[in-house]
Amino acid sequence: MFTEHATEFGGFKVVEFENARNWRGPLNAYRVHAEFEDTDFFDKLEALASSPGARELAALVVGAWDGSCEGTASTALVEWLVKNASRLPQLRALFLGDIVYEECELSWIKQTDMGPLLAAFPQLESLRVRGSDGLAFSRVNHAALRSLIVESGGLPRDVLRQIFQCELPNLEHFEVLLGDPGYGWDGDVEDLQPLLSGRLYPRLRRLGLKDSEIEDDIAAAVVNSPLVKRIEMLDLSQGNLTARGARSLLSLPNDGTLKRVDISFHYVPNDVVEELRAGLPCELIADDPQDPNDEFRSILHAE
Amino acid sequence: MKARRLHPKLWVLANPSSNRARAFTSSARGLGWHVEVIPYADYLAGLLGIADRLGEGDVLRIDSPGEDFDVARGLLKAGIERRAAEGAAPLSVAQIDRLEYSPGEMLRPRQWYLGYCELLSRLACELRAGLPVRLMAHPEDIPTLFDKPACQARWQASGLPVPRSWAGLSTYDEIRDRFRDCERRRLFVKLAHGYSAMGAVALEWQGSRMRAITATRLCGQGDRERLYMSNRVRVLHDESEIAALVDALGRECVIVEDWLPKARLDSRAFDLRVLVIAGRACHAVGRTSDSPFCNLNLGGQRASARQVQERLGGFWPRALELCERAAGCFPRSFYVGVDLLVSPNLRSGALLEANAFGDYLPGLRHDGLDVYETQLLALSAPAEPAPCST
Amino acid sequence: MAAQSTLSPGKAAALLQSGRAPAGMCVSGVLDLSNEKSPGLPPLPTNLTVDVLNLSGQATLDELPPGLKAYELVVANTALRELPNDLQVEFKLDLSGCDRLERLPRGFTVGSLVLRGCSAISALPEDLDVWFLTMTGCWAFEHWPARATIRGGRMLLRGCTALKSLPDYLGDLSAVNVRDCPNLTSLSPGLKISGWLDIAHSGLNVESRLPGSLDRVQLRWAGVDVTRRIAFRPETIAVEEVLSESNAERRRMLLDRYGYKKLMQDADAIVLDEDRDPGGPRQLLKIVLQGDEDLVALSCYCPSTQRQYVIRVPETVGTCHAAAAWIAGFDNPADYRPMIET
Repeated sequence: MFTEHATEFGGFKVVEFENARNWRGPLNAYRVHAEFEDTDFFDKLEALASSPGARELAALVVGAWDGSCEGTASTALVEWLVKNASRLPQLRALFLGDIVYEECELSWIKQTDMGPLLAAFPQLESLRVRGSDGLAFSRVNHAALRSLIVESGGLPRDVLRQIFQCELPNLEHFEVLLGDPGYGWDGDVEDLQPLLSGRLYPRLRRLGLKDSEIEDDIAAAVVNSPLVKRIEMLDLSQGNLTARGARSLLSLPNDGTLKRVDISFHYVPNDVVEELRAGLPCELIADDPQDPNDEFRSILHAE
Repeated sequence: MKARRLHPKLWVLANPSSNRARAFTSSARGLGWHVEVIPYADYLAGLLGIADRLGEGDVLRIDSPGEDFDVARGLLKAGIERRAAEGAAPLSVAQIDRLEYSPGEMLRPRQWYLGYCELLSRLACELRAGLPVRLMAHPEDIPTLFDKPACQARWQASGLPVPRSWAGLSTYDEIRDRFRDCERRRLFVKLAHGYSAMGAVALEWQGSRMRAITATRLCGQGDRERLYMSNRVRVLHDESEIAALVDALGRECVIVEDWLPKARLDSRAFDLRVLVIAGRACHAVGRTSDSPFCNLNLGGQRASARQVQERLGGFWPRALELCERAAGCFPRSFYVGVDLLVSPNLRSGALLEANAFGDYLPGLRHDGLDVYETQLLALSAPAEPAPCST
Repeated sequence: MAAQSTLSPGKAAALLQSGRAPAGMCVSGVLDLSNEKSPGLPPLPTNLTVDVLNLSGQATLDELPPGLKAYELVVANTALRELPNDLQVEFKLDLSGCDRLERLPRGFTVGSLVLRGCSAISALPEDLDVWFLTMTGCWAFEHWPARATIRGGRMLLRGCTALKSLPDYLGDLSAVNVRDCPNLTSLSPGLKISGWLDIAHSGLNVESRLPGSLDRVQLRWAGVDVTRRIAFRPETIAVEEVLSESNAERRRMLLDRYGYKKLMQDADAIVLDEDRDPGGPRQLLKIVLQGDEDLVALSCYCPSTQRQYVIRVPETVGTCHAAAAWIAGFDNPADYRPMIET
């Protein structure tokens, strides 16, 4: 579960924005969220967009939006952003849904179609979205986007399809939390084939296929992908990786560009972690080991 | 007035091997006090009285009876009669003798509490009959400080802010029924006689979906039902599991109150523990957490008073004042630990709970003094012995 | 014809139902015309482009329109005999249960090809190109193309009983299932599998039949990870090993390797009671275990899972009926661990 709000985003320190007095210039990531019995959420967004230098604002974090914890989707929020896109022409990084579990369960967060948002912000380089209920990516061609992070308690395979059908030719960082079947994940490792085939993101450098209950299957398939010969970072953390998946990673190519593999939060016994560390052609991060004998082996964000 | 001893003695009713007792006695001896510890075990066993050993003007500190399983057994036994009088089935002497220590287990908190009240009322009687002494904690305040509903009621009666609570709800069905017309509700169910996250459940439902966030575990069923405090917060989604846990807590007396949002320090929610000594807010510490429970055992982290003060800005003096007023509702208690929740907009607070033994804050300093030094110096200041009649 | 604008699935479905769907129609999203959603299949236009098209269960569908392009096409349980040569499916083609399907177009290229239960398929086309290949239950399948690209993903050949060999051109795969392929007695030399290989009841019953390239592969027996000893030398499995296994799936596998009847004989099972229930005959068996409480278990057949189960019950249970009742009221599996289950 997500327990802490972002403190850094898009390369900037996150500053809480509650009213105009919090404005400290455009070189910060401002965090706007609806608060219990507080100023109207959209008034805060207005105040932010009206701040001097808001036209230079590079990074925006939206926490709990109006009603998000009562089941209101991000539709009105996205509409506001689309409508006001011209007031934020330099926005490079956007995080929609910096909501921790105490505020709202990951699987209760209701999102909306990100397609119009991407279309309205052609300069956007980084999009991070939390929550997958209602999430959609209607097809866009977006040449600027370099980083896409989708955090979900359980990602519907149809959302994966929509993402893969978008044209994101400059994507360098792709990270998804696939999640648990109890919360919406209805896919299989084959749903990743369009990605694994290597034809989607020619500039990909960091690949995260995380928080999956089929992490072993993903490990076994990803090692055969041409992607692993040209990326720098492979992140299979937060899932239920076991000794089997860890051994699959021994098949990673040693003539590629990989610098780091992350399997943190895993169910791999110590000796196999060491075997992997010795056998991998790059750095291994294997923090937060779980009990390999645990029969249930839940993933990190299983709720 | 009888002549006082030249150097008053400091008596401590405590479990001698507990961390608290050891920390306090070493502090006090360091400051030149003559300290004598009266073990709870001995007092419970009726081996000795207290009042007849105290000289006039001596100081009595009543410390926590925790960290000793035999004492817990003794308190459970002392609570049998009162618990039975409530119509509940208490653990019998034989059952208590068979109990084995199990880390984290919350053993019949209500019976334990009633047993402790029994001990304190005996002590209060003794003190009333004895010489005037100074009390660091008052045996007639402690039962209220240790009873969340009673404590909050007292604060509310004094016009102090507390989370809205609902009396008379003790089962899951009663709670659901009370709020059946609410599409969404966030509530806390807390043991009346627990502290921080002990026996606390953050309950939320939205339509047909629900969850309970808690570090309390229910194991076994029926006669073998046991409540445990774990050091890991878990989210439950299964309604029958949630109901079983809430009902088990309800049998031990609970308070049902609003789950209020908390202010955040950087990325984490926090609340404030303020120690009020002799009416003045002294040591303060922020307890940040990534769960609804700001408990240092649950991965909570301390935030310094300075950090909290910076964050609270203009609300800081008001927060301290609230805590002082809260402690002022217990004028016979020399010190009271007060937990204050601050609203996310930093404009209001709500008093969560008081803690009669809320002064175990090792390493925390205020004006260069640790908690015990501050208390003992305040004691040395000329003061009239606290009256011990009601 | 002029380029069409892209339609939503709802509008497209309405156009199709009205019979006025134009050739070259483009549909975004999931066009669900499965039998469940749309009993009675409207005619499909030519040159249809669609993200996801689901026609599953349309029993009368025996051909697809020319020029069809889809990201994902689901035509499970239809009457298709063959596919148009110009069919383009980018990600996944699901032909499960198309038991009349005889051939696929030459050079067919798709990410994931599902031919589960396509029992009329005896050969795959030349120059096939796939990542994931599912041919579970294709019992007539025998002939690999001379040339094809199969790599990266899983190749599931369970129950391809006619299959005798695998081709040499297979690329690195993530998993291979040849369970219930009794005539498959060898694998291609140099075959690499990064994940698992399931060989239960296949012709690969001797360790030397695995190529050296699979020295480190994780073997599976009927879905359960096994060591080489369990897979190839079941005679070394001791009764105690079976009985003391705590994980139900592993116990089922061990019992399968050991042999159910053999276990009851070797362990000197005593029949305490016998009767019949809707699933067939049941027996209450007891095995006396040295240094442990006796093992009393109900042996019965479960029609829903089609498996023979042996479920441990308390020692005090004396009849099949009582055992079944106890099992039915059994709500906390952690309290009592079933000892054998097959």
